[in-house]
Amino acid sequence: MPKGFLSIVLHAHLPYVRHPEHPRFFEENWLFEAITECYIPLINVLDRLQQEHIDYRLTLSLSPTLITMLRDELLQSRYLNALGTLIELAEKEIIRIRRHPEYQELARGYRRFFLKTRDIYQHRYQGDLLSAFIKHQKTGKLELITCAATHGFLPLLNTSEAAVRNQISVGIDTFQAQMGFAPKGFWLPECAYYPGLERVLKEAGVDYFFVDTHSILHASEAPRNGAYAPIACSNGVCAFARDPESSQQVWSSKTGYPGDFDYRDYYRDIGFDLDLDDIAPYLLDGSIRTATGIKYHRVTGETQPKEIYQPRQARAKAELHARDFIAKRQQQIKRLSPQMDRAPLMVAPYDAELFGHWWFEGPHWLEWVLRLASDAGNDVQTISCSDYLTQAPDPQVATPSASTWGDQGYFSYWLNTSNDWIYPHLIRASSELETFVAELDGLSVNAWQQRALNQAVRSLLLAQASDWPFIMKSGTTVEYANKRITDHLARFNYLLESVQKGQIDERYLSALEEMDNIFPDIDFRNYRPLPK
Amino acid sequence: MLTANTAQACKPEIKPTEMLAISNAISRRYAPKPDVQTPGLFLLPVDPYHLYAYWNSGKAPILGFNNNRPGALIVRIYWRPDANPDIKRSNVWFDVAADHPTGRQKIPLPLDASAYSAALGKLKPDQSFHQIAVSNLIFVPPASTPVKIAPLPPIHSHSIAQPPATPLDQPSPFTFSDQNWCAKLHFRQLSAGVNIRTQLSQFFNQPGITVELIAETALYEAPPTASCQNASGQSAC
Repeated sequence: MPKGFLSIVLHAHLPYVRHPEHPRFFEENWLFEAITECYIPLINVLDRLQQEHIDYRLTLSLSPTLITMLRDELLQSRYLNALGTLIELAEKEIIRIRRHPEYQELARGYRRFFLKTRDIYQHRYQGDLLSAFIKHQKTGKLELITCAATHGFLPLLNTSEAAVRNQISVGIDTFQAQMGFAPKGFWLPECAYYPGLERVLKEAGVDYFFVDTHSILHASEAPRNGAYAPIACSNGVCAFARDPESSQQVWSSKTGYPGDFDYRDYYRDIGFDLDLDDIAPYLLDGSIRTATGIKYHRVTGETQPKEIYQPRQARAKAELHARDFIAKRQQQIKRLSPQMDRAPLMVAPYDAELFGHWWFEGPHWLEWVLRLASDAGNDVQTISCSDYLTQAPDPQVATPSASTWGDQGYFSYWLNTSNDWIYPHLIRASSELETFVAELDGLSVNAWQQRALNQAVRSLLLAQASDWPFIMKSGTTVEYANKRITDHLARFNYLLESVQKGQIDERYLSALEEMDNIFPDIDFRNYRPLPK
Repeated sequence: MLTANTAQACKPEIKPTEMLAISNAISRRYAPKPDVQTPGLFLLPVDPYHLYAYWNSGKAPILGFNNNRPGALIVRIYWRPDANPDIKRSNVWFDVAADHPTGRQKIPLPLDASAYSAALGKLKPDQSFHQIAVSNLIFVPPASTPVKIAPLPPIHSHSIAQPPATPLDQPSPFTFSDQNWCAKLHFRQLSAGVNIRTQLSQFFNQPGITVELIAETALYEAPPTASCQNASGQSAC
């Protein structure tokens, strides 16, 4: 019998970045980079663990926008093109740095890595990475869950009950349609919770969700087991809290593992280092430098010149860090067990894109953690939250407090002077849609009106993504975030007006359906307000 | 008969250049604009000690923006221990100057773990409040770490003529903001205020406390106007 449990939860999400109106689009690279550096390496880890009969448990949250993009034929084909370009660049690099054997060895390594990635993508999974995750779900070792339709920040959409309800129900419907089964758990975007949200989750068939530590510590009743056992809301939906210690070890920019000097440096990239003439053919417009994914240096230190990356050394360090991670969990279990009425559960949620993209060796570390935890002698057993609820029934009943896992722990990252302008527009659009759908109750609509209204809901959902206010605050691709919100709200305004005025332009509607071709089964009537 | 399926089936093929042109045309013409016609007010919670207020006074004429000046536009924030969405105000409130007919502002709050609502309105010459719009009810969460107790429990603006919504002798389930707050007491009857003023002066005669006492002949809240509605466009009166 293990003395304690560890639940590792990876949340995989990208905003909907599909732009068929452009032949190439910079933000689509977010998806391509994540496939190459995160999702396929993760699948490789799971495949290896399966081949070696390692008994692990892992939870993976796949956002509906990501699910849709992974199954999108246009993006699948564009991904292969992008990967082909990367292979060509790696081949050119092998020649360019032929007089520097150490660098050339790295370039060869990148070429092998990209070729292997293409082989797995094209031949092992025929471009359908979701099938890989479904395969592992069927073994019972990987638990797949999902989140809100477009990762809407639910506490700030809460002025409209229909907005929250549709974010959740459309998210779950999309997951079910693509994966073939309903998720038991739900990842609240940004772990953003407010009391009462559990009612909507319950109606959607959700058994559990995740919150940040202080949400449980400041629950309506003092938690008997702190943050190391779930609590059940009054309607039975359970909340699991993030373990701050295991989070800190991975997330912290100062003390976290990814900042180790032996790991690959994220920022040094040949997209910035090479002469512009050399790299220009591989840049989107031939002039604006961007990361390519080919990086030759390790973190090295805070100030000193970057030294060359040593893959073997880095992988050895990842194994060492995995051992340290397990040892720390053992210490935690020893410390917590005497104070608890059940075996402690440490929930360790991370962004899936951290592993491989930001932290190149992350998948290797994860594999080692899962291997080590499968050793019964280590007293730490990985578990899914569903299995934990089965094994440890009767959780304490209490309501978590409002919270997020963002900076400061509440809503300020998504509501501040950089992004506060968006909310009146989002709220008004949601209100207008609710009102209009309510007015249509009992009336029939023709096929064009139905299409236009369904498309209006898609536009509104896409405008509600938490990614846009997040980007505005972080200051990264602000112009893009501003444009996305403005475009989606403009599309919403256009569609609603076109229905109200009875002037639906077929070409306009078809163009919008093609550009925002997400949630094919959406039904605008679900946006009606519920009777009070 | 044309069905949704047949309408889908006969979708025209749109080339990327046309998609882009359509996208640009729609964004130029239909980009979201602020609604300045209809009065409205809504709140969003930020953290245990802050909320965001968004207001729009609509076409209501605004005479001036100085706080406490007749005609000044103000956002009146109500502390709502009742947390009842059907009630629109309480007898414990504070005012925030709204310096523009349409605006938004992050507003500090005295108490965490509480409910708040607000009303947008103007002060009348007799200092009574003419309400233009009322907000939704919001909840701010408990603070993660208890902050120091403020010098004065923020029962500011509490009307003495009515019992406080939460008895003061009950232990508070919340903590106080570390920002200083002062109480402005509004007496409905001058005569009632005399004794209370003396008692309160003694009570508050402690270092570090500032008590501002303002006598008012009446605290009358005008009945909601017909156009009163919240940010969702629903009647909130």
